[in-house]
Amino acid sequence: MARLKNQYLYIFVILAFLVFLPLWVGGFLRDALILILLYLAAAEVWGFMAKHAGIVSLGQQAFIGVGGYATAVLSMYYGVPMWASVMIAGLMGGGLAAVLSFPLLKLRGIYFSIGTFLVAEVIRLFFNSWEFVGAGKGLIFSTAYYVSTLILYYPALVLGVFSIFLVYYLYHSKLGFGLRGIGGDEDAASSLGVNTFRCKALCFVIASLLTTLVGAVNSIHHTYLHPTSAFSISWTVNFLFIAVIGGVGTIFGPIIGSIIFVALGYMLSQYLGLSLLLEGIIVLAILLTFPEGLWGVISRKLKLKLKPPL
Amino acid sequence: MINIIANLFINGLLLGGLFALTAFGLSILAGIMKVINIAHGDFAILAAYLALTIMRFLRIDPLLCILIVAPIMFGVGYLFQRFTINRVLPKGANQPVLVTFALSIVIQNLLLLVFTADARSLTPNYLLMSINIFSLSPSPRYLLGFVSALIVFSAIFLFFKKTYLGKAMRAVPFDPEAAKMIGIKSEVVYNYAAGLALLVVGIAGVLLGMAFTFYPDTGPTYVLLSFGVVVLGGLGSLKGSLVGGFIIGEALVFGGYLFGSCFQLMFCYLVILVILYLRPQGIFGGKL
Repeated sequence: MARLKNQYLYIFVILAFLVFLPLWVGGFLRDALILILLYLAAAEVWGFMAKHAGIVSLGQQAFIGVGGYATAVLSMYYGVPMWASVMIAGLMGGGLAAVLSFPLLKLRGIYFSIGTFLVAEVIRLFFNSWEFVGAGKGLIFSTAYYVSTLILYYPALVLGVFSIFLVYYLYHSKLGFGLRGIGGDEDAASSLGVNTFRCKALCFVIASLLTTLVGAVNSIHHTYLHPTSAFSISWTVNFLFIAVIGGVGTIFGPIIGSIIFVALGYMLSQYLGLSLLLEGIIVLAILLTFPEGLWGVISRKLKLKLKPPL
Repeated sequence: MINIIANLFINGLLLGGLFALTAFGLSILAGIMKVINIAHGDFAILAAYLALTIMRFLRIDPLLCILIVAPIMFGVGYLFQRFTINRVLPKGANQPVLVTFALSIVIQNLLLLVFTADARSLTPNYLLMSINIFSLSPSPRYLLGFVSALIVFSAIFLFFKKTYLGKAMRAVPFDPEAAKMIGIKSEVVYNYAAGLALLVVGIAGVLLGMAFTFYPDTGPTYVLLSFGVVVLGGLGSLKGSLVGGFIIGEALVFGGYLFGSCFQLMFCYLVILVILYLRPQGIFGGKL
Protein backbone atom coordinates (compact mmCIF):
# COMPACT_ATOMS: atom_id res chain seq x y z
CA MET A 1 0.00 0.00 0.00
CA ALA A 2 2.82 2.36 0.89
CA ARG A 3 4.44 1.52 -2.44
CA LEU A 4 1.27 2.39 -4.27
CA LYS A 5 1.06 5.78 -2.58
CA ASN A 6 4.69 6.42 -3.48
CA GLN A 7 3.93 5.75 -7.12
CA TYR A 8 1.20 8.36 -7.18
CA LEU A 9 3.47 10.80 -5.40
CA TYR A 10 6.17 10.32 -8.03
CA ILE A 11 3.70 10.81 -10.84
CA PHE A 12 2.38 13.95 -9.16
CA VAL A 13 5.86 15.40 -8.65
CA ILE A 14 6.85 14.71 -12.26
CA LEU A 15 3.63 16.22 -13.57
CA ALA A 16 4.03 19.31 -11.40
CA PHE A 17 7.60 19.65 -12.64
CA LEU A 18 6.45 19.40 -16.26
CA VAL A 19 3.70 21.96 -15.69
CA PHE A 20 6.12 24.55 -14.33
CA LEU A 21 9.03 23.68 -16.63
CA PRO A 22 8.22 26.12 -19.48
CA LEU A 23 8.22 29.01 -17.01
CA TRP A 24 11.95 28.46 -16.57
CA VAL A 25 13.04 27.41 -20.01
CA GLY A 26 12.30 29.46 -23.07
CA GLY A 27 13.54 29.90 -26.58
CA PHE A 28 14.46 26.86 -28.59
CA LEU A 29 14.42 24.55 -25.56
CA ARG A 30 10.72 25.22 -25.14
CA ASP A 31 10.22 24.49 -28.84
CA ALA A 32 12.14 21.26 -28.39
CA LEU A 33 9.96 20.32 -25.40
CA ILE A 34 6.80 20.90 -27.43
CA LEU A 35 8.16 18.74 -30.24
CA ILE A 36 9.20 15.99 -27.83
CA LEU A 37 5.74 15.91 -26.26
CA LEU A 38 3.95 15.90 -29.62
CA TYR A 39 6.15 13.16 -31.05
CA LEU A 40 5.79 11.23 -27.83
CA ALA A 41 2.00 11.26 -28.06
CA ALA A 42 1.88 10.01 -31.64
CA ALA A 43 4.70 7.48 -31.20
CA GLU A 44 3.11 5.98 -28.06
CA VAL A 45 -0.10 5.13 -29.86
CA TRP A 46 1.70 4.10 -33.07
CA GLY A 47 3.89 1.69 -31.08
CA PHE A 48 0.91 0.33 -29.19
CA MET A 49 -0.94 -0.37 -32.43
CA ALA A 50 2.08 -1.95 -34.09
CA LYS A 51 3.18 -4.12 -31.18
CA HIS A 52 0.05 -5.17 -29.38
CA ALA A 53 -2.62 -5.08 -32.06
CA GLY A 54 -0.25 -6.12 -34.85
CA ILE A 55 -1.44 -3.35 -37.17
CA VAL A 56 1.49 -1.44 -38.64
CA SER A 57 0.10 1.75 -40.15
CA LEU A 58 2.34 3.54 -42.64
CA GLY A 59 -0.28 6.23 -43.20
CA GLN A 60 -0.52 8.14 -39.93
CA GLN A 61 0.73 11.24 -41.76
CA ALA A 62 -2.75 11.47 -43.27
CA PHE A 63 -4.09 12.33 -39.83
CA ILE A 64 -1.27 14.76 -39.05
CA GLY A 65 -2.08 16.62 -42.26
CA VAL A 66 -5.84 16.52 -41.87
CA GLY A 67 -5.51 17.76 -38.28
CA GLY A 68 -3.32 20.66 -39.35
CA TYR A 69 -5.43 21.69 -42.33
CA ALA A 70 -8.75 21.31 -40.47
CA THR A 71 -7.53 23.50 -37.62
CA ALA A 72 -6.18 26.16 -39.96
CA VAL A 73 -9.27 26.23 -42.16
CA LEU A 74 -11.73 26.30 -39.26
CA SER A 75 -9.89 29.02 -37.41
CA MET A 76 -9.03 31.20 -40.41
CA TYR A 77 -11.95 30.75 -42.80
CA TYR A 78 -14.77 30.26 -40.32
CA GLY A 79 -13.51 32.18 -37.29
CA VAL A 80 -13.84 29.24 -34.93
CA PRO A 81 -11.83 29.80 -31.72
CA MET A 82 -8.41 28.17 -31.93
CA TRP A 83 -8.85 25.43 -29.33
CA ALA A 84 -12.36 24.64 -30.49
CA SER A 85 -10.98 24.12 -34.01
CA VAL A 86 -8.34 21.79 -32.60
CA MET A 87 -11.09 19.75 -30.94
CA ILE A 88 -13.24 19.68 -34.06
CA ALA A 89 -10.19 18.72 -36.13
CA GLY A 90 -9.60 15.83 -33.74
CA LEU A 91 -13.16 14.64 -34.20
CA MET A 92 -12.80 14.94 -37.97
CA GLY A 93 -9.64 12.84 -37.86
CA GLY A 94 -11.39 10.25 -35.72
CA GLY A 95 -14.32 10.24 -38.13
CA LEU A 96 -11.98 9.83 -41.10
CA ALA A 97 -10.29 6.90 -39.36
CA ALA A 98 -13.68 5.33 -38.64
CA VAL A 99 -14.70 5.60 -42.30
CA LEU A 100 -11.33 4.33 -43.53
CA SER A 101 -11.31 1.41 -41.10
CA PHE A 102 -14.08 -0.31 -43.07
CA PRO A 103 -12.07 -0.86 -46.26
CA LEU A 104 -8.60 -0.84 -44.68
CA LEU A 105 -9.08 -3.22 -41.79
CA LYS A 106 -10.38 -5.82 -44.15
CA LEU A 107 -6.73 -6.05 -45.20
CA ARG A 108 -4.27 -7.88 -43.06
CA GLY A 109 -0.60 -7.53 -42.24
CA ILE A 110 1.47 -5.89 -44.94
CA TYR A 111 -1.62 -5.31 -47.10
CA PHE A 112 -2.97 -3.06 -44.38
CA SER A 113 0.36 -1.22 -44.15
CA ILE A 114 0.50 -0.56 -47.87
CA GLY A 115 -3.21 0.27 -47.92
CA THR A 116 -2.73 3.00 -45.30
CA PHE A 117 0.29 4.32 -47.21
CA LEU A 118 -1.78 4.47 -50.42
CA VAL A 119 -4.66 6.26 -48.70
CA ALA A 120 -2.30 8.80 -47.19
CA GLU A 121 -0.72 9.43 -50.60
CA VAL A 122 -4.15 9.84 -52.21
CA ILE A 123 -5.10 12.40 -49.55
CA ARG A 124 -1.77 14.20 -50.01
CA LEU A 125 -2.21 14.38 -53.79
CA PHE A 126 -5.76 15.59 -53.29
CA PHE A 127 -4.68 18.41 -50.98
CA ASN A 128 -1.88 19.20 -53.41
CA SER A 129 -4.43 20.24 -56.03
CA TRP A 130 -7.27 21.49 -53.80
CA GLU A 131 -7.43 25.26 -54.41
CA PHE A 132 -9.60 25.85 -51.34
CA VAL A 133 -6.64 25.11 -49.06
CA GLY A 134 -4.06 26.78 -51.29
CA ALA A 135 -3.13 23.62 -53.27
CA GLY A 136 0.61 23.33 -53.94
CA LYS A 137 1.28 26.86 -52.69
CA GLY A 138 0.52 25.87 -49.14
CA LEU A 139 -1.48 27.67 -46.50
CA ILE A 140 -0.21 30.34 -44.16
CA PHE A 141 -1.84 29.80 -40.79
CA SER A 142 -2.08 33.48 -39.86
CA THR A 143 -4.28 33.20 -36.77
CA ALA A 144 -1.69 30.89 -35.19
CA TYR A 145 0.78 33.78 -34.96
CA TYR A 146 -1.00 34.96 -31.84
CA VAL A 147 -0.43 31.73 -29.93
CA SER A 148 2.77 31.91 -27.91
CA THR A 149 4.92 28.86 -27.30
CA LEU A 150 4.17 29.14 -23.58
CA ILE A 151 0.47 28.63 -24.25
CA LEU A 152 1.15 25.99 -26.89
CA TYR A 153 3.22 23.96 -24.44
CA TYR A 154 0.19 22.97 -22.39
CA PRO A 155 -1.88 21.25 -25.07
CA ALA A 156 1.30 19.44 -26.10
CA LEU A 157 1.84 18.41 -22.47
CA VAL A 158 -1.76 17.24 -22.18
CA LEU A 159 -1.38 15.13 -25.34
CA GLY A 160 1.94 13.63 -24.26
CA VAL A 161 0.79 12.75 -20.75
CA PHE A 162 -2.62 11.63 -21.93
CA SER A 163 -1.07 9.26 -24.48
CA ILE A 164 0.93 7.56 -21.72
CA PHE A 165 -2.12 6.98 -19.54
CA LEU A 166 -4.16 6.03 -22.59
CA VAL A 167 -1.73 3.31 -23.63
CA TYR A 168 -1.53 2.04 -20.05
CA TYR A 169 -5.29 1.98 -19.78
CA LEU A 170 -5.81 0.46 -23.23
CA TYR A 171 -3.36 -2.33 -22.49
CA HIS A 172 -5.29 -3.39 -19.40
CA SER A 173 -8.78 -2.82 -20.76
CA LYS A 174 -10.99 -5.43 -22.29
CA LEU A 175 -10.21 -3.89 -25.67
CA GLY A 176 -6.50 -4.30 -24.91
CA PHE A 177 -6.97 -8.00 -24.14
CA GLY A 178 -8.76 -8.44 -27.43
CA LEU A 179 -6.07 -6.54 -29.30
CA ARG A 180 -3.25 -8.53 -27.75
CA GLY A 181 -5.09 -11.66 -28.78
CA ILE A 182 -5.34 -10.33 -32.33
CA GLY A 183 -1.66 -9.36 -32.30
CA GLY A 184 -0.81 -12.92 -31.30
CA ASP A 185 -3.04 -14.79 -33.72
CA GLU A 186 -5.96 -13.09 -35.37
CA ASP A 187 -7.81 -16.24 -36.41
CA ALA A 188 -7.44 -17.82 -32.99
CA ALA A 189 -8.68 -14.63 -31.30
CA SER A 190 -11.63 -14.50 -33.66
CA SER A 191 -12.56 -18.12 -32.99
CA LEU A 192 -12.49 -17.42 -29.24
CA GLY A 193 -15.17 -14.79 -29.71
CA VAL A 194 -13.13 -11.59 -30.04
CA ASN A 195 -14.85 -9.22 -32.44
CA THR A 196 -11.61 -8.60 -34.31
CA PHE A 197 -12.91 -5.89 -36.62
CA ARG A 198 -14.47 -3.91 -33.78
CA CYS A 199 -11.34 -4.13 -31.63
CA LYS A 200 -8.98 -3.13 -34.42
CA ALA A 201 -11.27 -0.35 -35.65
CA LEU A 202 -11.61 1.12 -32.13
CA CYS A 203 -7.85 1.01 -31.65
CA PHE A 204 -7.24 2.57 -35.06
CA VAL A 205 -9.80 5.34 -34.44
CA ILE A 206 -8.44 6.19 -30.98
CA ALA A 207 -4.84 6.23 -32.21
CA SER A 208 -5.72 8.30 -35.27
CA LEU A 209 -7.77 10.78 -33.25
CA LEU A 210 -4.79 11.39 -31.01
CA THR A 211 -2.49 11.66 -34.04
CA THR A 212 -4.88 14.21 -35.58
CA LEU A 213 -4.72 16.30 -32.40
CA VAL A 214 -0.93 16.13 -32.57
CA GLY A 215 -1.11 17.35 -36.17
CA ALA A 216 -3.46 20.16 -35.15
CA VAL A 217 -1.23 21.42 -32.35
CA ASN A 218 1.83 21.03 -34.54
CA SER A 219 0.28 23.18 -37.26
CA ILE A 220 -0.28 25.99 -34.74
CA HIS A 221 3.38 25.65 -33.77
CA HIS A 222 4.54 25.73 -37.39
CA THR A 223 2.08 28.41 -38.65
CA TYR A 224 2.51 27.14 -42.21
CA LEU A 225 1.01 24.15 -43.97
CA HIS A 226 2.16 22.55 -47.17
CA PRO A 227 0.78 19.28 -48.57
CA THR A 228 4.25 17.83 -49.11
CA SER A 229 5.37 18.36 -45.53
CA ALA A 230 2.03 18.04 -43.74
CA PHE A 231 1.31 14.69 -45.41
CA SER A 232 4.91 13.55 -45.61
CA ILE A 233 5.64 9.89 -44.95
CA SER A 234 8.46 11.15 -42.74
CA TRP A 235 5.88 11.70 -39.99
CA THR A 236 5.21 8.00 -39.75
CA VAL A 237 8.92 7.33 -40.22
CA ASN A 238 9.59 9.52 -37.20
CA PHE A 239 6.99 7.73 -35.07
CA LEU A 240 8.50 4.41 -36.09
CA PHE A 241 12.02 5.60 -35.30
CA ILE A 242 11.00 6.93 -31.91
CA ALA A 243 9.13 3.76 -31.02
CA VAL A 244 11.90 1.45 -32.24
CA ILE A 245 14.79 3.39 -30.67
CA GLY A 246 13.06 3.32 -27.29
CA GLY A 247 11.35 -0.04 -27.60
CA VAL A 248 8.16 -0.79 -29.53
CA GLY A 249 5.12 -1.38 -27.36
CA THR A 250 6.61 -0.07 -24.13
CA ILE A 251 5.50 3.12 -22.40
CA PHE A 252 8.92 4.41 -21.37
CA GLY A 253 10.55 3.54 -24.69
CA PRO A 254 9.00 6.34 -26.76
CA ILE A 255 9.86 8.84 -24.00
CA ILE A 256 13.55 8.03 -24.43
CA GLY A 257 13.09 7.72 -28.18
CA SER A 258 11.45 11.11 -28.65
CA ILE A 259 14.08 12.90 -26.55
CA ILE A 260 16.90 11.29 -28.58
CA PHE A 261 15.06 11.96 -31.83
CA VAL A 262 14.45 15.66 -31.21
CA ALA A 263 17.95 16.18 -29.76
CA LEU A 264 19.55 14.57 -32.83
CA GLY A 265 17.31 16.65 -35.09
CA TYR A 266 18.47 19.89 -33.44
CA MET A 267 22.13 18.92 -33.40
CA LEU A 268 22.23 18.01 -37.07
CA SER A 269 19.71 20.57 -38.31
CA GLN A 270 22.19 22.38 -40.56
CA TYR A 271 22.87 19.26 -42.62
CA LEU A 272 19.95 18.41 -44.86
CA GLY A 273 18.96 14.78 -44.46
CA LEU A 274 21.88 13.83 -42.23
CA SER A 275 19.83 13.44 -39.06
CA LEU A 276 17.32 11.17 -40.81
CA LEU A 277 20.16 9.16 -42.33
CA LEU A 278 21.80 8.74 -38.94
CA GLU A 279 18.53 7.86 -37.26
CA GLY A 280 17.78 5.35 -40.00
CA ILE A 281 21.14 3.68 -39.41
CA ILE A 282 20.57 3.67 -35.63
CA VAL A 283 17.13 2.15 -36.10
CA LEU A 284 18.48 -0.51 -38.45
CA ALA A 285 21.22 -1.37 -35.96
CA ILE A 286 18.70 -1.56 -33.12
CA LEU A 287 16.30 -3.73 -35.11
CA LEU A 288 19.09 -6.11 -36.06
CA THR A 289 20.92 -6.35 -32.74
CA PHE A 290 18.49 -5.68 -29.90
CA PRO A 291 14.92 -5.32 -31.20
CA GLU A 292 13.58 -4.66 -27.70
CA GLY A 293 15.02 -1.14 -27.96
CA LEU A 294 17.03 1.03 -25.58
CA TRP A 295 14.46 0.88 -22.83
CA GLY A 296 14.39 -2.92 -23.07
CA VAL A 297 18.16 -3.04 -22.67
CA ILE A 298 18.17 -0.53 -19.80
CA SER A 299 15.46 -2.32 -17.86
CA ARG A 300 17.23 -5.65 -18.38
CA LYS A 301 20.60 -4.28 -17.25
CA LEU A 302 19.09 -2.61 -14.18
CA LYS A 303 17.06 -5.75 -13.54
CA LEU A 304 13.86 -3.72 -13.30
CA LYS A 305 10.87 -5.97 -12.95
CA LEU A 306 8.27 -4.14 -14.97
CA LYS A 307 4.94 -5.40 -16.11
CA PRO A 308 4.50 -5.44 -19.91
CA PRO A 309 3.22 -2.13 -21.12
CA LEU A 310 5.81 -0.28 -19.05
CA MET B 1 -10.88 9.98 -81.28
CA ILE B 2 -10.20 6.31 -82.06
CA ASN B 3 -6.68 7.36 -82.90
CA ILE B 4 -6.18 9.06 -79.53
CA ILE B 5 -7.51 6.06 -77.65
CA ALA B 6 -5.36 3.67 -79.68
CA ASN B 7 -2.32 5.81 -78.97
CA LEU B 8 -3.05 5.94 -75.26
CA PHE B 9 -3.64 2.21 -75.23
CA ILE B 10 -0.35 1.45 -76.97
CA ASN B 11 1.60 3.73 -74.63
CA GLY B 12 -0.15 2.26 -71.58
CA LEU B 13 0.77 -1.19 -72.79
CA LEU B 14 4.41 -0.25 -73.33
CA LEU B 15 4.62 1.54 -69.99
CA GLY B 16 2.98 -1.52 -68.42
CA GLY B 17 5.87 -3.69 -69.58
CA LEU B 18 8.31 -1.40 -67.79
CA PHE B 19 6.20 -1.43 -64.62
CA ALA B 20 5.89 -5.21 -64.76
CA LEU B 21 9.68 -5.39 -64.79
CA THR B 22 9.93 -2.89 -61.96
CA ALA B 23 7.48 -4.85 -59.84
CA PHE B 24 9.02 -8.23 -60.49
CA GLY B 25 11.71 -7.85 -57.81
CA LEU B 26 9.04 -7.10 -55.23
CA SER B 27 7.06 -10.07 -56.45
CA ILE B 28 10.01 -12.50 -56.15
CA LEU B 29 10.75 -11.49 -52.57
CA ALA B 30 7.08 -11.63 -51.62
CA GLY B 31 6.52 -14.95 -53.34
CA ILE B 32 9.63 -16.75 -52.16
CA MET B 33 10.21 -15.50 -48.62
CA LYS B 34 6.95 -13.73 -47.84
CA VAL B 35 8.68 -10.38 -47.35
CA ILE B 36 7.37 -7.13 -48.76
CA ASN B 37 10.40 -4.98 -49.36
CA ILE B 38 9.33 -1.40 -48.63
CA ALA B 39 12.75 -0.21 -49.82
CA HIS B 40 12.07 -1.74 -53.25
CA GLY B 41 11.47 1.57 -55.01
CA ASP B 42 14.48 3.13 -53.32
CA PHE B 43 16.69 0.33 -54.63
CA ALA B 44 15.43 1.13 -58.13
CA ILE B 45 16.28 4.81 -57.66
CA LEU B 46 19.64 3.83 -56.17
CA ALA B 47 20.35 1.89 -59.38
CA ALA B 48 19.39 4.93 -61.45
CA TYR B 49 21.83 7.10 -59.49
CA LEU B 50 24.51 4.43 -59.85
CA ALA B 51 23.99 4.52 -63.61
CA LEU B 52 24.17 8.32 -63.52
CA THR B 53 27.54 8.17 -61.76
CA ILE B 54 28.91 5.52 -64.12
CA MET B 55 27.67 7.50 -67.11
CA ARG B 56 29.54 10.55 -65.92
CA PHE B 57 32.80 8.77 -65.28
CA LEU B 58 32.93 6.43 -68.25
CA ARG B 59 30.91 8.56 -70.66
CA ILE B 60 28.96 5.60 -71.96
CA ASP B 61 25.36 5.08 -72.99
CA PRO B 62 22.93 4.53 -70.07
CA LEU B 63 21.90 1.19 -71.59
CA LEU B 64 25.49 -0.05 -71.32
CA CYS B 65 25.52 1.04 -67.67
CA ILE B 66 23.07 -1.77 -66.98
CA LEU B 67 25.94 -4.23 -67.53
CA ILE B 68 27.75 -2.67 -64.58
CA VAL B 69 24.77 -1.70 -62.43
CA ALA B 70 23.06 -5.10 -62.54
CA PRO B 71 25.93 -7.11 -60.99
CA ILE B 72 26.41 -4.43 -58.33
CA MET B 73 22.72 -4.62 -57.47
CA PHE B 74 22.96 -8.41 -57.32
CA GLY B 75 25.68 -8.04 -54.69
CA VAL B 76 23.63 -5.45 -52.80
CA GLY B 77 20.64 -7.79 -52.78
CA TYR B 78 22.70 -10.76 -51.64
CA LEU B 79 24.20 -8.80 -48.74
CA PHE B 80 20.86 -7.14 -47.92
CA GLN B 81 19.26 -10.56 -47.53
CA ARG B 82 22.23 -12.19 -45.81
CA PHE B 83 22.78 -9.53 -43.17
CA THR B 84 19.38 -7.97 -42.58
CA ILE B 85 16.34 -9.92 -43.72
CA ASN B 86 17.58 -13.40 -42.82
CA ARG B 87 18.28 -12.14 -39.31
CA VAL B 88 14.82 -10.76 -38.70
CA LEU B 89 12.78 -13.34 -40.63
CA PRO B 90 12.26 -15.61 -37.61
CA LYS B 91 11.19 -12.68 -35.42
CA GLY B 92 7.66 -12.26 -36.70
CA ALA B 93 5.92 -10.83 -39.72
CA ASN B 94 6.19 -7.15 -38.80
CA GLN B 95 9.93 -7.08 -38.27
CA PRO B 96 10.94 -7.16 -41.98
CA VAL B 97 8.47 -4.32 -42.65
CA LEU B 98 10.19 -2.15 -40.06
CA VAL B 99 13.67 -3.08 -41.30
CA THR B 100 12.97 -2.42 -44.98
CA PHE B 101 11.14 0.80 -44.11
CA ALA B 102 14.16 2.02 -42.15
CA LEU B 103 16.40 0.95 -45.02
CA SER B 104 14.25 2.96 -47.42
CA ILE B 105 14.83 6.09 -45.32
CA VAL B 106 18.56 5.40 -45.15
CA ILE B 107 18.83 5.04 -48.94
CA GLN B 108 16.73 8.14 -49.60
CA ASN B 109 18.76 10.33 -47.28
CA LEU B 110 22.06 8.90 -48.45
CA LEU B 111 21.10 9.80 -52.02
CA LEU B 112 19.94 13.23 -50.86
CA LEU B 113 23.27 13.81 -49.16
CA VAL B 114 25.40 12.65 -52.09
CA PHE B 115 23.37 13.83 -55.07
CA THR B 116 21.32 16.73 -53.55
CA ALA B 117 17.59 17.15 -54.16
CA ASP B 118 17.96 18.17 -57.84
CA ALA B 119 15.93 16.46 -60.55
CA ARG B 120 17.99 13.97 -62.55
CA SER B 121 17.41 12.06 -65.73
CA LEU B 122 19.25 9.43 -67.76
CA THR B 123 17.29 10.08 -70.95
CA PRO B 124 19.67 10.05 -73.94
CA ASN B 125 18.86 12.22 -76.96
CA TYR B 126 17.90 9.33 -79.21
CA LEU B 127 14.93 8.56 -76.94
CA LEU B 128 13.51 12.07 -77.36
CA MET B 129 12.63 11.71 -81.03
CA SER B 130 9.17 10.66 -82.04
CA ILE B 131 8.18 7.49 -83.85
CA ASN B 132 5.27 7.26 -86.24
CA ILE B 133 3.95 3.93 -87.42
CA PHE B 134 0.49 3.71 -89.04
CA SER B 135 -0.32 7.11 -87.51
CA LEU B 136 0.41 5.70 -84.08
CA SER B 137 3.11 7.34 -82.01
CA PRO B 138 4.43 5.08 -79.30
CA SER B 139 6.81 6.81 -76.90
CA PRO B 140 10.38 5.57 -77.59
CA ARG B 141 11.18 5.71 -73.88
CA TYR B 142 8.31 3.38 -73.06
CA LEU B 143 9.09 1.20 -76.08
CA LEU B 144 12.67 0.68 -74.89
CA GLY B 145 11.38 -0.24 -71.43
CA PHE B 146 8.88 -2.65 -72.92
CA VAL B 147 11.38 -4.44 -75.17
CA SER B 148 13.94 -4.70 -72.37
CA ALA B 149 11.26 -6.02 -70.04
CA LEU B 150 10.36 -8.76 -72.51
CA ILE B 151 14.02 -9.77 -72.87
CA VAL B 152 14.60 -9.84 -69.10
CA PHE B 153 11.35 -11.72 -68.51
CA SER B 154 12.32 -14.38 -71.04
CA ALA B 155 15.68 -14.77 -69.34
CA ILE B 156 14.04 -15.12 -65.93
CA PHE B 157 11.55 -17.60 -67.33
CA LEU B 158 14.38 -19.79 -68.65
CA PHE B 159 16.27 -19.41 -65.38
CA PHE B 160 13.30 -20.63 -63.34
CA LYS B 161 12.59 -23.51 -65.72
CA LYS B 162 16.05 -24.79 -66.60
CA THR B 163 18.57 -24.14 -63.83
CA TYR B 164 18.95 -25.95 -60.51
CA LEU B 165 18.97 -22.68 -58.55
CA GLY B 166 15.83 -21.50 -60.31
CA LYS B 167 14.05 -24.73 -59.51
CA ALA B 168 15.24 -24.52 -55.91
CA MET B 169 13.81 -21.01 -55.67
CA ARG B 170 10.45 -22.31 -56.77
CA ALA B 171 10.66 -25.33 -54.47
CA VAL B 172 11.37 -23.52 -51.20
CA PRO B 173 8.13 -21.52 -50.93
CA PHE B 174 6.15 -24.46 -52.28
CA ASP B 175 7.18 -26.82 -49.49
CA PRO B 176 10.03 -25.64 -47.22
CA GLU B 177 10.22 -28.95 -45.33
CA ALA B 178 10.48 -31.09 -48.44
CA ALA B 179 13.03 -28.71 -49.96
CA LYS B 180 15.12 -29.04 -46.82
CA MET B 181 14.91 -32.83 -46.99
CA ILE B 182 16.43 -32.95 -50.45
CA GLY B 183 19.25 -30.73 -49.31
CA ILE B 184 18.20 -27.20 -50.28
CA LYS B 185 19.35 -24.65 -47.74
CA SER B 186 16.53 -22.11 -47.64
CA GLU B 187 18.75 -19.26 -46.35
CA VAL B 188 21.17 -19.67 -49.24
CA VAL B 189 18.31 -19.81 -51.72
CA TYR B 190 16.88 -16.66 -50.14
CA ASN B 191 20.22 -14.89 -50.55
CA TYR B 192 20.35 -15.70 -54.25
CA ALA B 193 16.67 -14.89 -54.71
CA ALA B 194 17.18 -11.46 -53.16
CA GLY B 195 20.23 -11.01 -55.38
CA LEU B 196 18.16 -11.87 -58.43
CA ALA B 197 15.32 -9.62 -57.27
CA LEU B 198 17.61 -6.63 -56.88
CA LEU B 199 19.38 -7.40 -60.15
CA VAL B 200 16.04 -7.08 -61.90
CA VAL B 201 15.22 -3.99 -59.83
CA GLY B 202 18.56 -2.57 -60.91
CA ILE B 203 17.79 -3.05 -64.60
CA ALA B 204 14.31 -1.62 -64.09
CA GLY B 205 15.74 1.31 -62.15
CA VAL B 206 18.05 2.31 -65.00
CA LEU B 207 15.20 1.99 -67.51
CA LEU B 208 12.92 4.07 -65.26
CA GLY B 209 15.67 6.65 -65.00
CA MET B 210 15.80 6.75 -68.80
CA ALA B 211 12.02 7.19 -69.02
CA PHE B 212 11.29 9.65 -66.20
CA THR B 213 13.03 12.27 -64.10
CA PHE B 214 13.91 11.12 -60.62
CA TYR B 215 14.73 12.59 -57.23
CA PRO B 216 16.20 10.95 -54.12
CA ASP B 217 12.66 10.58 -52.74
CA THR B 218 11.00 9.11 -55.85
CA GLY B 219 11.32 5.56 -54.50
CA PRO B 220 8.03 5.37 -52.54
CA THR B 221 6.03 6.17 -55.68
CA TYR B 222 7.52 3.14 -57.42
CA VAL B 223 7.06 0.84 -54.46
CA LEU B 224 3.37 1.75 -54.34
CA LEU B 225 2.90 1.24 -58.09
CA SER B 226 4.88 -2.01 -57.93
CA PHE B 227 2.75 -3.16 -55.06
CA GLY B 228 -0.27 -2.47 -57.20
CA VAL B 229 1.20 -4.63 -59.97
CA VAL B 230 1.96 -7.42 -57.50
CA VAL B 231 -1.49 -7.27 -55.94
CA LEU B 232 -3.09 -7.37 -59.37
CA GLY B 233 -0.94 -10.16 -60.68
CA GLY B 234 -0.48 -12.38 -57.67
CA LEU B 235 2.82 -13.05 -55.98
CA GLY B 236 5.84 -14.52 -57.73
CA SER B 237 3.94 -15.03 -60.98
CA LEU B 238 5.64 -13.93 -64.20
CA LYS B 239 2.44 -13.88 -66.20
CA GLY B 240 0.64 -12.10 -63.37
CA SER B 241 3.33 -9.43 -63.19
CA LEU B 242 2.95 -8.70 -66.89
CA VAL B 243 -0.84 -8.44 -66.74
CA GLY B 244 -0.66 -6.39 -63.53
CA GLY B 245 1.89 -4.11 -65.15
CA PHE B 246 -0.34 -3.57 -68.18
CA ILE B 247 -3.32 -2.64 -66.01
CA ILE B 248 -1.23 -0.16 -64.00
CA GLY B 249 0.27 1.26 -67.19
CA GLU B 250 -3.15 1.75 -68.76
CA ALA B 251 -4.48 3.26 -65.51
CA LEU B 252 -1.62 5.76 -65.48
CA VAL B 253 -1.91 6.74 -69.13
CA PHE B 254 -5.70 6.96 -69.26
CA GLY B 255 -5.80 8.60 -65.81
CA GLY B 256 -3.38 11.21 -67.06
CA TYR B 257 -5.44 11.81 -70.20
CA LEU B 258 -8.81 11.98 -68.46
CA PHE B 259 -7.95 13.83 -65.26
CA GLY B 260 -4.73 15.68 -66.07
CA SER B 261 -1.27 15.01 -64.72
CA CYS B 262 -2.21 16.30 -61.25
CA PHE B 263 -4.67 13.49 -60.68
CA GLN B 264 -2.88 10.82 -62.70
CA LEU B 265 -1.08 9.22 -59.78
CA MET B 266 -4.06 9.69 -57.49
CA PHE B 267 -6.32 7.88 -59.95
CA CYS B 268 -3.82 5.06 -60.21
CA TYR B 269 -3.54 4.71 -56.41
CA LEU B 270 -7.32 4.65 -56.15
CA VAL B 271 -7.47 1.86 -58.73
CA ILE B 272 -4.93 -0.12 -56.68
CA LEU B 273 -6.90 0.52 -53.48
CA VAL B 274 -10.16 -0.64 -55.05
CA ILE B 275 -8.54 -3.82 -56.36
CA LEU B 276 -6.83 -4.38 -53.02
CA TYR B 277 -10.21 -4.08 -51.35
CA LEU B 278 -12.13 -6.27 -53.78
CA ARG B 279 -9.54 -8.97 -54.38
CA PRO B 280 -6.76 -8.91 -51.77
CA GLN B 281 -5.47 -12.23 -53.14
CA GLY B 282 -4.92 -10.76 -56.60
CA ILE B 283 -6.61 -11.45 -59.87
CA PHE B 284 -4.50 -14.53 -60.60
CA GLY B 285 -4.77 -16.02 -57.13
CA GLY B 286 -1.56 -16.41 -55.14
CA LYS B 287 -1.83 -15.53 -51.48
CA LEU B 288 0.75 -13.90 -49.24
